[in-house]
Amino acid sequence: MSTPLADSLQSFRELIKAHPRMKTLLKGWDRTVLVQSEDTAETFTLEFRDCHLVDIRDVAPAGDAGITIKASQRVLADIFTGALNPASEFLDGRLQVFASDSDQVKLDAITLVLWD
Amino acid sequence: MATLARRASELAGYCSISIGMALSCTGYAMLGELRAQAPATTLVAGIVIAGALCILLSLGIAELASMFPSAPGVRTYLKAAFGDRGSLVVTFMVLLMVVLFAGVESYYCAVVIHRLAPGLPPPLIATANLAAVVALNLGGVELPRRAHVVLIAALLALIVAVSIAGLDGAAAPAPAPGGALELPAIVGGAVFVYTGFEWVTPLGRSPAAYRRLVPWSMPLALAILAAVFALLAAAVGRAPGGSAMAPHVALGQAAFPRGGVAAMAALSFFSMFSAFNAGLMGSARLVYALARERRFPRWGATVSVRRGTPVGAILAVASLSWLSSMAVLSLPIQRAISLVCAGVYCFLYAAFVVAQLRLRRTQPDRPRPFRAPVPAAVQVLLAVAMAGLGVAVLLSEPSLRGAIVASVLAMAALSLGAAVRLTPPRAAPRAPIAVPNLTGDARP
Repeated sequence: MSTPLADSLQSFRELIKAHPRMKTLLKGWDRTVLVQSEDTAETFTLEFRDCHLVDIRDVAPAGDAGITIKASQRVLADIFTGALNPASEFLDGRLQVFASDSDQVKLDAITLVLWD
Repeated sequence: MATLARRASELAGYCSISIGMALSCTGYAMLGELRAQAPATTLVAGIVIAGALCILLSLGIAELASMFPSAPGVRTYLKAAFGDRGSLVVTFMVLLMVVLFAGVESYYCAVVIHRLAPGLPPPLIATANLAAVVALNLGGVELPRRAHVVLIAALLALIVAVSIAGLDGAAAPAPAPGGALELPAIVGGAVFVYTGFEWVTPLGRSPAAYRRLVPWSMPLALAILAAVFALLAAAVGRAPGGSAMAPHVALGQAAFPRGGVAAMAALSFFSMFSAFNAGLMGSARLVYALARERRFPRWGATVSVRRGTPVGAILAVASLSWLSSMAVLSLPIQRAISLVCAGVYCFLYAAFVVAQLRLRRTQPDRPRPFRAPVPAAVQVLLAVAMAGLGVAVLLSEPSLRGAIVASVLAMAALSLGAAVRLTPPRAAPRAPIAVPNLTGDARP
């Protein structure tokens, strides 16, 4: 199924794969991330393993996702394509990130390295 | 059953975060200072009243948290209510306050540990404590939540044990050594011992946590703190010749001559560590987010690519905290800074209440999974009361009044200056473009 959010996640995956600094940034960071769109009820599970975003599934994870990201479809799609600054969206309350402090910074660092 | 146990464990985790932020050496010292200037009964009354006010406040903050789950409260709630620049001024004030608080906290902790190990100079103790916290933060090491719950429960148990022993050991309340603070100043000072309880709001594990668990964890934590602090205040009130700086140490020594001081030094260290660690990490995260939002110099967003920690922000907050602690260790300003922090926190809490009321009017349709069960009229009174308590605290010490007012004004001026510099000017209203009409005359 192709939706703006699904497409942006696929392009996000390609960018991570191609970026030379991602291996260092994602080293040892094996996490399951749940991405939820508030307005379209889309749900995606991102699997970070072995320094890569190895899998994107359009279902919720079987167990407890360690990290949950929630926003409107448009905000999520814009964040995963680099069109929006996630920190601004987060501080404005339009993006919600449920994760430990270090995981929150790691997620933001990924976008920082990719687009800043 | 398993779900209930899981929710209870999650609630305990949130409560321990709230309590851990409030337990601090500066808080114990504030109790000692208040005790030095008021009878024990007034102090206990002040503690209980301040706890009740904070519980009412926490319900409003919980409503804001449910509107903006996971967001850093001081920036997000106040931005939604008062706009970018107003929120930024308050956020910078809070960051300055954290740095000042870190200095005072280091000082009090160093004083207590120095008492146990006189060979260690206090500046070295303060530096070592700060370095340990910074190293953990830079390394991305986080205390597991369960371990944090156990640590906080142990600290509370220690305070309760020493307080009960102190109450048992003394026959009658010791008289107040002199001075007579009015109840409003006592309550305002006592609000300070609860400060930090709201730092739990960005730490919910899931969206569902903001329906009940995070909102109710704050009043629950405050009720526990109120009971424990009231007991401690009553015991400190009965302790003969207690130290104003470290009343819990004097109490521990009187209650348990063998090992009492060591136990209280451990209490001080872990209280400092818990408050400091969460405060440093929380502030560094806020600085990092502001830098990413382009509301702070760019170096604040420097991250360690390997560990994913906000190195620039951590080092900035830690350096300023170290300077603050060295200043407090060199100059007799700890009391003035404690009062500044106490007063400014009262204003901050008043701002939260006003923000919540304003957002009910300006964003009535935004989902509120938790709605504060407090009538609006009571909340208006609460905001006025908190602002009044802030003034009472700032003016409570006649000999320090000038320095305190000057410090608050300097903090406000610095914050305002930084906010004005870091926010882009508002776009001027566009002048209508002159468009020639068919007759050749230009008109807007």
